[in-house]
Amino acid sequence: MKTFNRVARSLMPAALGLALALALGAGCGDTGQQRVEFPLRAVGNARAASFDAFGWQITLDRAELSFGPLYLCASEGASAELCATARAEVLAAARVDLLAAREREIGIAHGTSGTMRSAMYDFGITWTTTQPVPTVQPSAPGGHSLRFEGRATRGAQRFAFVADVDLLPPARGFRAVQGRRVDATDALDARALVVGFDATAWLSQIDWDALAQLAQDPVVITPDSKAANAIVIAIAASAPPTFRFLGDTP
Amino acid sequence: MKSKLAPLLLALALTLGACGGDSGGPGTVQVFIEAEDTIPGGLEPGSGDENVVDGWKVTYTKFLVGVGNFRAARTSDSTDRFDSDRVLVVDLTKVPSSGLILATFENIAATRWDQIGYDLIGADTDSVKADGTAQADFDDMVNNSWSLHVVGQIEKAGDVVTFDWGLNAATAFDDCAPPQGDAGFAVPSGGTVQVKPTIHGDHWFFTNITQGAEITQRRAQWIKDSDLDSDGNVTLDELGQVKASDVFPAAQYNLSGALIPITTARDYFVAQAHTLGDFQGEGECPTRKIL
Amino acid sequence: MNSAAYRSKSDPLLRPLLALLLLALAWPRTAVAQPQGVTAPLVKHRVEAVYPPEALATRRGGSVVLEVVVSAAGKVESVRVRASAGARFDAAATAAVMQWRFEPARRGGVAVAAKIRVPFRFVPPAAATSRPSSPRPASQPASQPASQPARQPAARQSAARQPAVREPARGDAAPKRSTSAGADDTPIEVDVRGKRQVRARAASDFVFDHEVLTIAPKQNAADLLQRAPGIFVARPAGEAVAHRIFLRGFDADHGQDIEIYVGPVPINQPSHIHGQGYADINFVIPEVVSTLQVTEGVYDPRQGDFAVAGSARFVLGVRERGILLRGTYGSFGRLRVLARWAPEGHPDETFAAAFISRTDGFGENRGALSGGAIGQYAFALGRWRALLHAAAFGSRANLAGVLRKDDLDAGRVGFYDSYGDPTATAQSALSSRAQLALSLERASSSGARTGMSLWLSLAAFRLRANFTGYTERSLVNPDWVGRGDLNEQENRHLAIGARFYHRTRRFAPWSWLAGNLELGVQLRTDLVDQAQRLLQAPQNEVWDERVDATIWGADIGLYADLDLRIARWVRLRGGVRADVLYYDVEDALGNFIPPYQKPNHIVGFRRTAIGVALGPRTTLELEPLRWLKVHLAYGEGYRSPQARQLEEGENAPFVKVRGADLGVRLRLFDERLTISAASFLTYLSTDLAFDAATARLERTGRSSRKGFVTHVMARPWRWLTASLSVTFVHATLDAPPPARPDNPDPPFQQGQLLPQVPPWVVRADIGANHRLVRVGGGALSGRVGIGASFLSPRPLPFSERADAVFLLDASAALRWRAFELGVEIFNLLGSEYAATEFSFASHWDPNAIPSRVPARHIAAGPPRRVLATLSVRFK
Repeated sequence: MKTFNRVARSLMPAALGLALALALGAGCGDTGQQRVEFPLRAVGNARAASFDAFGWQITLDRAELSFGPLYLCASEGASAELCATARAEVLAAARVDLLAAREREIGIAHGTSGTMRSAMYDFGITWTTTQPVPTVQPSAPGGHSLRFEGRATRGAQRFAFVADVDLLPPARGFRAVQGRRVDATDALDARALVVGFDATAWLSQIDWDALAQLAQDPVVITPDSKAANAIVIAIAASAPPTFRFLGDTP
Repeated sequence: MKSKLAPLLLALALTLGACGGDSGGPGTVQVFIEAEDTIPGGLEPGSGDENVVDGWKVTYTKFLVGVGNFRAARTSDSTDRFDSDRVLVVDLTKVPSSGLILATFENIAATRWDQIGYDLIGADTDSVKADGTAQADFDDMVNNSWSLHVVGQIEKAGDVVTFDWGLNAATAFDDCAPPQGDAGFAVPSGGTVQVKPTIHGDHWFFTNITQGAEITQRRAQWIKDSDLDSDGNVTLDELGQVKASDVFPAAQYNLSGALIPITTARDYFVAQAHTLGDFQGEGECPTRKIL
Repeated sequence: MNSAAYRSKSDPLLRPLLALLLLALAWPRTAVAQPQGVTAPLVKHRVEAVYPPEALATRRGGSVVLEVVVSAAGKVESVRVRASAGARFDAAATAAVMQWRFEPARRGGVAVAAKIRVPFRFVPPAAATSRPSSPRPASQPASQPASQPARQPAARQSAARQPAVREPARGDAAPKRSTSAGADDTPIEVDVRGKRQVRARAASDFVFDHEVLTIAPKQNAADLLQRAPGIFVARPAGEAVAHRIFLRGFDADHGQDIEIYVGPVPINQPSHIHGQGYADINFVIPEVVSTLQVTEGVYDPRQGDFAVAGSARFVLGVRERGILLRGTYGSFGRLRVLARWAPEGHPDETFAAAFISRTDGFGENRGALSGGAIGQYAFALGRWRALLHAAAFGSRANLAGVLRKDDLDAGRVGFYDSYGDPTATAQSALSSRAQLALSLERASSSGARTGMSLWLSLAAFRLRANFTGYTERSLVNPDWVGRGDLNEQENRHLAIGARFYHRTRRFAPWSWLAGNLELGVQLRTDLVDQAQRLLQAPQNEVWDERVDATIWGADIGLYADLDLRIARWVRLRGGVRADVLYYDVEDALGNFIPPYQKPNHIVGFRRTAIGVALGPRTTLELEPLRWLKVHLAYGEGYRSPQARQLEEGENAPFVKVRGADLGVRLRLFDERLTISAASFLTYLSTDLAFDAATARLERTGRSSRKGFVTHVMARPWRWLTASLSVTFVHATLDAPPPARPDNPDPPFQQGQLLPQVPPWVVRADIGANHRLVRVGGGALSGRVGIGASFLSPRPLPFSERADAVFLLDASAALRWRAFELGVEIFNLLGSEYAATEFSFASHWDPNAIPSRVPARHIAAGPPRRVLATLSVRFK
């Protein structure tokens, strides 16, 4: 019994150490970051249904594009090399109605916590590292990135037009749009991401006079035409989609 | 007794003398300004990855930038940083062969500094003229508050188009990283590390706005196509009148990722001027802000 | 009578294990539970001591107590004076006893070296009465009564009689029975060899001898390593790749946190391309391991590079002499054939063994074949004991790689499968090793020891692994993309090293203070040639070059270790170690010129760096009671870096480690129960984490680990051994990882847990070994063992947790005369567990849109395996 008491007493420091360590560590803490999820919503511009472009009155009957896949990246230069690991992504391309004024959910972004500073994305046509040629996603309207149908009127001149525009990735393993800076937001704080598309700005870049001189009805704007080129540069560089993260106060 | 004590004392001395030194003392950082080879050397036509594929040969006679405000901080200790507000105006076609030192920092902690940045900024009266740069050019930069002044020409088969473009495209470049490895640089204790912000000179010949590696083609035809009055000289005003969609066909160009919207050819040039700041040769500084 | 030489005239070919254990024990040592069943040495032939003439003339007498080491061959190996009566009496007694011959001590019927005490009483002529000493026991046929030479008075000697076998005391225990005055037969204490020499450095030193090591089933040396408290070993990548060792909160991906020695040769490879400190112990044949010494923490000045979590040393030796042939066959086509030869009459260190092993692998793409041999030869070289060691090994294994957890959950791939793409099935590893070492040691009778060892090792490594699928783009030609991220890592390593040490004899300036000092030099030079490329399967065309470097490095270490005993119950061990590290790196791809840049220089970047890692290492040991020891230790260590990542002129080319330990050790019930408990702190200036994109270890931030480890070892009966160890650790990252271009501000929370480190590691082993019946002229004995391991859910990145791992291994064997038949079952419960889990982004489905968000990947651990082994032993 005496031996037992002595043993017990000498074990006390170890027991205390054990208890202390348990208190410190049991179930305490994790590795810091978390997986996050937030919806991706798209909104068009109802004004695009009918607007003025340098004297021409443009009326759109149909304006659709395919948006996605989208990657949101930690560095400001979202690109294949600077975004090998993305903060959040939406892998599916979804159809967006550019004439809708109300937001519509087009996907769920999955990712991890951390700051997002830029985005890279495709418009329904992807060219991954393992594909020899670009692939058109099922949501692409008519097999193209964008499709517009409408009428242009200026005084007595009027014609209908149909436009197919492709935003092609420049090379294998790239996205159509890279390095699109967004407001730095922590993915943990993001409740939703709203991407806004303004078709008026894009169509305003077209030289409508030149189209009128084609004297066709309907004018067919093919992906390799100058007008399509103007739309591509507008979407990619002059009036790109706006990215707005919604926080806790929607 | 003495012989017995001696080893004991020696041993005790050794034990007590052990101070368990850490990584050693601080070091020095020397910041050089380096010009990419395309500035003094120009670009050659050809089909290689480093050539201008549409046959134009490019040469610069002047390439002045205002560069400075080097800064460094580290993620492991956000309170520790060092910086300099020295701005140098330098003609990168005339950088002395011994290199151009922007700033020297001494007594810097010997650790990894991974948040590096510097500015390409408009010159002002506080700016310093670099050796080898002409006084007249320096005065031009200061008087106009330009951050960039390039003078050169493109030439193909006898056809020469000259340009003289000066503007303020002040940009802050941050989060610089060498081509491989972790961002920033490590200061060796008791030694000196040479850090080289590198100014590139061919970005407005790229067919995209590069973010990471410069995987791109080089084309110069757009300058020729912007010569609206065909006088063999392209001015910034002429560039401002040329629609981007006219000279940058989508089949060849991808203009996404610019800091400013691109509607005209001038916007393209300015957007590319906002990307000139690189690091340690081909390393990028992807965090860019217009000042 | 002719005077005897001081030197032992023992046969130079016969070297006892004790001497070599002394050599191996320039290392942390500790006491261990004493196995039972030992018989003492018996005197066969005795020689009289010659009374010193000077003392005779002055009628002086004295008592000398000698501590005599009797070899396994029955000859006197060394003599040490425990109680002195003056130089002349000591010399006379020593000279006499050197010529004595013994029947050696035996344990379990096998001859072993032993240490005994022999008192000599020199009675001066005035009081001399010729009393013959009376040897009592009848079991000493060769002993003779002390005769009296005609010219000299009798020197009284005590007779050796069969002493009662008792458990030895650890440390400087006083003899169990005191000599009564006038009695002329003093019982001899017996200590089975070596155990009294061992001293604990901290409560975290463990020595496991062969019996303990063989309790639970073992297939390879890594299973032996699991005996140490807190060690868990996984093998996520097959036989040709080093094990993943968990110890004290360190997840040594391939051994980089544990300094491992096999014999005199250090195994860790500095600046290895897969991870600095890569230590592949696949070449160690478990049947030739006699002792495993594990030191947890870095408190011994002898611990050098890579001793971050601790050190492990495999001491090789074969107790059972003769020839052993062993064949194993079992699940998944596992076949292993081993031949081992330990010639009779030679010490345990002399042996040769060779093996071949093959397996089809427990799942797709896991076949492997390996073969190796180890040989040692112990001999005398003048007054030196020498050991020659040679080993060779080669292994090639196919690797299954890792699988995405979402593919597993969706059923696209099975748990033990591999991806079917050529870039996944082409994963393989090849490793080979050859090493040679020569050790010399000399122990003088004054207690001083001097030793040296020289070693040479060659290691080659080629790994082809694809973790990320199809994400990479060539740097050499950016058009080449999506060809499969099959990383080929190649590492060729030549290392030469030496160690010199001298331990002084004991000095005692005052009665309450005694000690000795050891000084040593350890040096090594490494030449490493390494490369990393991207290959396109199946023809392995090279489509990118990532690394091409040659590193010449050296590590010159000096240490001083002072061992002081203050009063009877305080022991202070302290020392300091300084290592000079230098590196010369030739980085052939440094200053790389990308294809889109005009060449304006020649590619290649050479860097040099040199620095000194200096740190104290001290242990304070208090022994307030005979069965209780309390330890407090502090030490600073280092780990050499990946030399390619050094900056030019870097003055501190290493990672700094600081650790502290506090522990107790109890030895109860005649050492049948040993309990040790220690709490520890370890701080690392830069930690490492595996990066799947580069398939290497990359730097992360500062880290700290706090925890405790408890070990209980019980041997209630001679035939039953049980041990239990519990380790708890709280490992945190204390500074954010360095910023990278694609992650300029890595998210970080102070105190976030370090991923991959299991908070709880529990290991339990029970083994029984007993004679059953006597059958047909021989004893039939049986052995059963059970080993259980438990890892609590490991924290993974993004606040996830891996599943807990519980593994049960069992073995049973029957032995009759020369034959032994055994069955081993690994993973008895057949649990489907992941040997490793990672989080990173990968793209495996070529037709799908790639995901760039980090996902969980697992490498499967082996399922239930049953192995049958037949062994034949003959002399």
